[in-house]
Amino acid sequence: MATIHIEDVSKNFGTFHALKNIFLSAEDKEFTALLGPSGSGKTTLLRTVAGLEQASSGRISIGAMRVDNLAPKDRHLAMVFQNYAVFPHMTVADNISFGLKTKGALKEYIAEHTQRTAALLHIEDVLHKYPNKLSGGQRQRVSVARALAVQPQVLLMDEPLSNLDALLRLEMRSELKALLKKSETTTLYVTHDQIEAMSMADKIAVMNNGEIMQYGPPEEIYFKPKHEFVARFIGSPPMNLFTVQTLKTVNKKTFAVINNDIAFVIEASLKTKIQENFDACGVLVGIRPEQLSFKGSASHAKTFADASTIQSEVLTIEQLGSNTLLVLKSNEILFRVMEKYGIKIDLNDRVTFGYQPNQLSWFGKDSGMHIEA
Amino acid sequence: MKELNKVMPYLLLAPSVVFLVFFFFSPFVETFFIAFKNAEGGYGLHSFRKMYDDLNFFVALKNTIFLLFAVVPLQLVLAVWMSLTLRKIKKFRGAILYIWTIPLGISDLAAGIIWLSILTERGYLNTIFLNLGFIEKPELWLSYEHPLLLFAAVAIAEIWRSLALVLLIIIAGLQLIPKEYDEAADVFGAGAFRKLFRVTLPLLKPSIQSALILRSILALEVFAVAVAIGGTNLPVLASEAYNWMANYLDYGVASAYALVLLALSIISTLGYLFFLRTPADAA
Repeated sequence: MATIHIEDVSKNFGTFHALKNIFLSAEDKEFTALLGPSGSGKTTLLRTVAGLEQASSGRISIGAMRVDNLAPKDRHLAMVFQNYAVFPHMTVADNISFGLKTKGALKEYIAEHTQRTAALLHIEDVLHKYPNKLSGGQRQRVSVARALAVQPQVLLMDEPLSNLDALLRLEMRSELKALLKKSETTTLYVTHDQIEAMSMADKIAVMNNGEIMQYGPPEEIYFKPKHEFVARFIGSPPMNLFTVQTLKTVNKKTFAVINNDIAFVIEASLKTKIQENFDACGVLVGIRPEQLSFKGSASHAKTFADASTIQSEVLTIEQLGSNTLLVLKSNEILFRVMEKYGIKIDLNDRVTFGYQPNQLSWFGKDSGMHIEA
Repeated sequence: MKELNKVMPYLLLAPSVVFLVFFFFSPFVETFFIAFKNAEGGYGLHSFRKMYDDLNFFVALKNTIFLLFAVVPLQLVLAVWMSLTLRKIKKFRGAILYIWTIPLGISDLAAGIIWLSILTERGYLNTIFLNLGFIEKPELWLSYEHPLLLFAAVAIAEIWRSLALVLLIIIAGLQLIPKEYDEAADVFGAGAFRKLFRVTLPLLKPSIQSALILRSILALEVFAVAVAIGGTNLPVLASEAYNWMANYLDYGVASAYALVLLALSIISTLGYLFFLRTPADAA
């Protein structure tokens, strides 16, 4: 029910720079996931928004109100903690109503609202119980109910599902998504699980080393990574990245040559930019495992005329249920291809893969930055 | 080998059990018998009668219980306040904690003597007051003429001497509480007061309970500090027990005193166990 504006926020712990000049603007009712490996600063950023950490510099606003100098309790937000932090000495009902009581709500309102929030999370049957009599999943529900009960402007969630087992996590994920959609609460959600981020978030901020590497809708993060780090981090398995050895023009088409068997055709619009980058510091080319498609066994006499295929040998085959993951080897270069279950292929086969040239991602080798037309 | 493994724990425990049976349990049972033994060799309440009729008994009982109420609650409040403060500071935390816990290493008699040297006629307090011109001549603070002052002096010395024990238990207890509870209270709008009484103290209850049980038992046994500072002017139960044993050579009455102390300890412990219990399903 409010926007979040984070402007130029930095956070230092001694000489360690946990957050470096963070900019992030979440729209009203938007679900933003902060995604990154451990130590990337995502939790620090969340805690800084919560007021549990003080930013070293920068501004944070919730709605029209600047909050970075306010105590957590004055920021009109609620938080769901990774280990729930449900008060063990209070019943479920007392936990859910904790925030309402501190705000001095009327007794009747508290009772009614606690009941309603509990029903929303399907824990109305355990209201009188103490948290240690509940399962992990139920405790997590209490923690979410406590946060939603105060009808916060902003909801902060710190890896809320990471302590649940896989099946429960899947269930809670879709339930949470529906719940947050309905409650229309602006949400910041920290996670290291990219599937969680991809499936729940309206926008994802991918973080690394205290910086936001990319901030955008999930599809954009996945298909148009702005930085080599994002390309490597997102996707399971991640994007294949190849170092371009030379650029070569044959029949008016320019190729990025990886080795004797692998070369990617460069779209005409990108030609100059890639050439410039290549001359300056080298170029990486990336393509997702599922964007390479199996074309059958290869003839040894591959020519550059066959512009949009590459060849290599099958090193391993992993059956993943509905998909088959192939690891391929070409000289010393390894890469992965995701195929539908049921393709006819054997170890050590020499095979050809096709690709769409417009699905290739190009990155500067030193900068890691995406090369755009 | 397997047989030995089964027996091994008991073998390792045996020395301590033997030690306790000989030096704790058997004197304890003996005390019990001595207390109820008559001069004629039969058993009865003779010693208790004698204790009850003694002029000093109710004075000692009153002093002991008043000391308990003066010392223990104040120590608890101070210890909670000190440990919460200590948690807030970053620099010199270790150093301050070491200084605060120095009295833990001092015997109670030594502690009594330290405070005696401060409060005695030619002590530090009089010297300072004289030099500052607050008083004309050295005052005799610790005399039967100022029973309240005497009591206060013993209470202060006791608080000073054994605060560290409570402090350590409370600090250890605070460290066991995950900081997320504190943060959750902050985020959900609790002020300092509500946070202390609704979150921190309830979560600290098990530690508070242990601290109170331990300190109350020790406070009931107050002896050396009371004797060093108060002499015979501030009798307490333990000093009376000692008197009857060492000066009047009446082991029966001394044992009766010991049993009264035991009863008070049990009552206070049961009280804490009951009033500070955690609801069964919240445990």
